[in-house]
Amino acid sequence: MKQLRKELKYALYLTVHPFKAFWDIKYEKEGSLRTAFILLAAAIVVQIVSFLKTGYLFGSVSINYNFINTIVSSLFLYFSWCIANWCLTCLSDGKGTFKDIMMFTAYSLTPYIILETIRIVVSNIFILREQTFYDMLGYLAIAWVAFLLVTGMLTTHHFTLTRTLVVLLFTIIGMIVIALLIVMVFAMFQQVVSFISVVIDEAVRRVS
Amino acid sequence: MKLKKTGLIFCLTAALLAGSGSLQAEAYYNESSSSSTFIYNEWGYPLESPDAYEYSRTVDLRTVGEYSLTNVTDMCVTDENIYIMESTLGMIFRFDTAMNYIDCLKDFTLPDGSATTLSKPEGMYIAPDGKVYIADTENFRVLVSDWEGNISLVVVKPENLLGTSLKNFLPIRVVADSVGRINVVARNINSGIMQFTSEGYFSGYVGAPSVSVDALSKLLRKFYTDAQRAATTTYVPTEYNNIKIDKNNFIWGTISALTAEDVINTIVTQDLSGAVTPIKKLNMKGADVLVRNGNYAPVGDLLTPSKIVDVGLGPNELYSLLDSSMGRIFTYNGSGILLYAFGGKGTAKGESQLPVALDYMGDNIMLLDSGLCSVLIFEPTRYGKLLIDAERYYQEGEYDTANECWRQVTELNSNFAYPYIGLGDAEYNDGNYEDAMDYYEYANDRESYSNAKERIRKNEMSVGFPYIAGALLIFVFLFVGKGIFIRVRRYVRGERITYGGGDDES
Repeated sequence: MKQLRKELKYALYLTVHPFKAFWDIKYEKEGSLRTAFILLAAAIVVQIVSFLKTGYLFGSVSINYNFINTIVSSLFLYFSWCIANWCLTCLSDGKGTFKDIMMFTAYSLTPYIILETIRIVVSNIFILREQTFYDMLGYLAIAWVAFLLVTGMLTTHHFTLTRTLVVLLFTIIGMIVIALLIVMVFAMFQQVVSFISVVIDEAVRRVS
Repeated sequence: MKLKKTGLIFCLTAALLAGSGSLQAEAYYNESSSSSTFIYNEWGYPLESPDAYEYSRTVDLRTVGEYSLTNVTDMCVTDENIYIMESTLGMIFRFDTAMNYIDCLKDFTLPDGSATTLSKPEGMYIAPDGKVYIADTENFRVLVSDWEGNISLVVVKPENLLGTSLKNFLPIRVVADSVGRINVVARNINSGIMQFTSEGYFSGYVGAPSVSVDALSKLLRKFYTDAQRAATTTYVPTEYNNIKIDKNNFIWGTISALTAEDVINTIVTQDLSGAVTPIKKLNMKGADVLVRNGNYAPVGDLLTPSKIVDVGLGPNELYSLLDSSMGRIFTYNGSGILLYAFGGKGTAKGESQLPVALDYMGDNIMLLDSGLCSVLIFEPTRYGKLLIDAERYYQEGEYDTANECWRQVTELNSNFAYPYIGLGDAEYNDGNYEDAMDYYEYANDRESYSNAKERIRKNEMSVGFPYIAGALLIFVFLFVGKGIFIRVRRYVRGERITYGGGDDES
């Protein structure tokens, strides 16, 4: 428990000292996969709470919100990012293992967790005239997470900045490819299922 | 609690409608050739509404006295009388408020004593002092007369008319303001409404669109050839087709020469600037002062662009636009929110063939149908009466009574967001900002919600500010104090100050 507290505290430290901290979580045992998953879960929970509890002025009017969607899409994004990144960095001499990738990705979400929480609270206090500040917090969160992802990749894989950015671009393409593959597999699976059901149907009709 | 439930149902209906999308809208739209009443929701889809007006009766004008009428073109309603203009005969018929024929005006005497008649007149205006203003179209003149036919003024084509290639002056509509200035809409004049002094001198155009040129196109024009320059000259038609004047001397002009593309663009972008508008409310200077606070600007039909041919000025700042292409009447309140739309083209009861003019007599709507040569009279139902009364009470500041009207409206029609805004406003003016916020949320009026919230926050802040500020001060003091204390202690002990790392603070 004490270890966990220390690691979570270290995640906070990471948001402002990314280069040192990403190095430490990889080589100095300052982070763990357990903490990474806790951070990931926290990010998902914050996202769900943001859907449900954002103030009326800034929230969406969607009534039929299903939190399962958020969980599935978040997990999909996370794992497809990790897999695509791992595939590409393996090819381009990255020094990070799959575990390292999972860790730096989840740790990078810390600013999102903090700022989104602030946004949820603030959305219930602010009025429309202050929307700019509310939006700014959102942009800040995105920019910060993006910055951490880049530095995390840079540190974990021992890349140069140019290489990081190129790999980042290809990772995003890789994620799209993974999504396409999954859709295709689903479609083919559906075909197979329907084929088998037709065959069974046919057989039953012939026999009877 | 009850409020919450209603709101939920309202939201659910809205969500359902949004979800099923255009299909549902289309389905409703097809059957709405019947003259049933509808409104638009905030996404611009038609929603059924209780009838606000019901058809009362038709007055057949094909035979009036010993005359047979064929081509009625204009109608003017004063407090005591209703006047109908017949173009082919060149006559004006006078009726009482129950639409019983009284007399007519046919023969006129010019100021020099010679007799004259009208030739295909299209419009007229009866001033409150009894003066008759006639747009004598085919005689190219505007006449000012009394009801005996003694013409006091003849307005002809102005001599000093610059910038137009006007051959003939074809006045079609005329109104006069309370000091006798004459405003004329003439066919093929697209510079605005022609304004004449009470002596008949042309004083200028009002209501012409102000053409603005942005810096980029100004710069580009410097590099254009003459041919290009000629090709880019944009032509903004503002051919008014009808004008009305209200008690405060505001001129209401309708425009039907709008391209469907522009109108659709205005609807889709929810443009409330009034750059493209079929209705303008012009002040003395000719500036459009119409309030457009609805989700959509008052343009009539949101699905197929309307051809607005007349505006009826009703009680309590309500006004109705007459769409001649679908035969519908769209009634807006002073803030530009659509209250109800009804009517249709056809031969069934309450439907018209070729509607040309619309006027209010009290709360009743009078519709002049040129096709059937008749006047259709519509009377407000309980629902319509409630909406009209609510407007009046709200304008008079009787918020409690207005509140009650709106509450009854929501009971009759929970699909209508506007009364919830009204209820919210009433609560807001009473200082019940929490309740107001609830109502605004149903109506999905974020702006008003935000205002109410600001008031609440202000109150809370004035109560809680000393505590919050005190707590913050103590917090900051402790935080800073601790940092200073640690640094001083380290300095005293002679330690090196390191930053970050997390492990050096234990």
